[in-house]
Amino acid sequence: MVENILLGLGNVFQPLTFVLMVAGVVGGVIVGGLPGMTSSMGIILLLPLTYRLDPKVALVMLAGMYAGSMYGGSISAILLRTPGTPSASATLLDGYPLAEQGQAGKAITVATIASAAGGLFSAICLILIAPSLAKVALKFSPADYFSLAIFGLTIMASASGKNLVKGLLAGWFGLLISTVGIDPIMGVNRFTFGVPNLMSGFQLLPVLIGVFAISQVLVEVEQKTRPPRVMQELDDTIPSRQELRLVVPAILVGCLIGTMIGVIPGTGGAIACFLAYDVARRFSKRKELWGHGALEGVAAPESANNAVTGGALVPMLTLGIPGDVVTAVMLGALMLIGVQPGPLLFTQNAEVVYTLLTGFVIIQFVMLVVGLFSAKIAPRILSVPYNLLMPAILLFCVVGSFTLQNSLWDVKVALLFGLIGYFMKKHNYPPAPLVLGVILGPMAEEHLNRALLLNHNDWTILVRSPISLFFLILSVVSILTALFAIGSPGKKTSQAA
Amino acid sequence: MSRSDFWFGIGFMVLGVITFFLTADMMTMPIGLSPADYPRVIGVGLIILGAIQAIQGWRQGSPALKELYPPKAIWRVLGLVLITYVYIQLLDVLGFSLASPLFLLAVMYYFGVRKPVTMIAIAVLLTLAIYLIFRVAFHVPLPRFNLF
Repeated sequence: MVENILLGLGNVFQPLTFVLMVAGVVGGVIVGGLPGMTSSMGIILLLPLTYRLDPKVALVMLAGMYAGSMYGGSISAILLRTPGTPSASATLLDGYPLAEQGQAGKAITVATIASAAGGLFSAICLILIAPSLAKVALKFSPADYFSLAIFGLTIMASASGKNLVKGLLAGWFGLLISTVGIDPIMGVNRFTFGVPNLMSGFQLLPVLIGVFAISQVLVEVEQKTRPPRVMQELDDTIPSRQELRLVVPAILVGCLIGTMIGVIPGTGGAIACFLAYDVARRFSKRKELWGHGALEGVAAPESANNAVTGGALVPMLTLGIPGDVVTAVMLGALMLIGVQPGPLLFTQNAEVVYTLLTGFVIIQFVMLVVGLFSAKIAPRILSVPYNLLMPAILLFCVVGSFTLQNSLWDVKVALLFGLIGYFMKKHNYPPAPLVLGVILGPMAEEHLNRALLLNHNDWTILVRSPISLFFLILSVVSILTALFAIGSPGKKTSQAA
Repeated sequence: MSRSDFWFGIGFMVLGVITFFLTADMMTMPIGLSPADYPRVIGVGLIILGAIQAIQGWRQGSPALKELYPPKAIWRVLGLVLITYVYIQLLDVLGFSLASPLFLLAVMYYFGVRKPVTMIAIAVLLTLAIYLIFRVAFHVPLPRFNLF
């Protein structure tokens, strides 16, 4: 393991890798900071640039975008009272009151330090936990893999939207999309309707670009004009020693909660941030300040926010099951650049995966430097007019889809899925289960077929194998938990509000 | 209140039934999955989930379609889709270098930008930047002028 870590470090400090890693972090901070742009969108827009690079370089750049964008969401939360990413929602509770008191610079600096600390803590946990979990996962049979895919789909459906049935329908629709084309077992055409382009099915990149990026541009075009953003200039950006001492316990709480929540598939950053905020507030000596501009109220959710990133990569890298929406997109990104997440990743692609793991540690330090610098220029980042940004994104979506196979067919597919994604957003169908269905569909079919062949068409293998049974029970539990949450009076009230 | 969720549920059920019928002629296998089995399982799932969604939509109702899609907003969305589709078709004829600045100018205008110098500068510079990155650095054969 030490050898692999040293090898990974050597790769990360190659000039090209390092420069692109910094570019990924800077791009991530900008993407995360702009309201309407999400981490998923940033990763997808970066994909066309990265999948022609060496997988090691590409992965580190994508990880930089992931970590940078998760932090960047705090900037607009503090300055505009609009979280750049959903995960930054808890940050605005104290971040914006601090900005109103003229302490936005300090709040952004604390958010930067907390984000870097959270990311670093979770990156170390990732290095320690992931290889061990991968060793356990090596013992999985085809039936276990099939049940794991079902678990991944149900957990994402139950966690990514208010309506469980809509989440499941989105996932099932994704599975159906994945069946289009030549089937992997007998080579028979399925749902191709005589269209030659459909024989290879729907490619993942145009689907991702459509559902996550083009759909967002379509949502943005609904409004012709927007009110100008009003922001204050940032002068005082350095917190005092006493203030830094105050935020340390809150950062530690965020680190622990964020990493733990991140490891659980299907949870996501928003839950971790609000939980960390609540727990840190309970332990705080000056509870009365929380909600009115406490620096600890920025530190706790921000450290949790970035601690989620390393935690969520654990199930994604070892099992191929994403921890949240962004890692679902990262899963697709990895597959597109030729890296298959799962237990074999650690044996077959050790150099690649350890470059990512060590890179993830270094990224936190890069983010700290970039973040501290961006605290001064944050208002300028946010002043980019959306009516210039959206046309640029749309052009990039078109070119990005084209570059996959140098085919305009893929661009049309991206546009179609952009429209589908737009309607899904309007009717509250979460997009992540759809994408996960497209990714996990072929894997589920292949492993189910293998399990049936090995067991002479005996379907009971799915419940006879203890690991498979475990994942199926978890799937049922995740659905029941979601149903209970939807049915509980508290949830109904909050939804109504 | 309308029942758009109800109709969406019905739509998914219909999709499930169509999936089932489209797999009717596919070959069967004595052991393991046949090409039809997996889509059929998905089809059944769509029918069941669609039915649940339809019942939920019928009982609870859902936001009115006019609320979700104000006429002006939906026309703006469809207009942008049309502009993008025309651009994709033009790419094959005019090529990337010529069609892209025109597309950017059209979309910026559509988004409400009214500063000609800014529009032209961004249209030209962005097209050039993307050309340099993808064509020159990554050797992607971007569509070329193909009219004659």
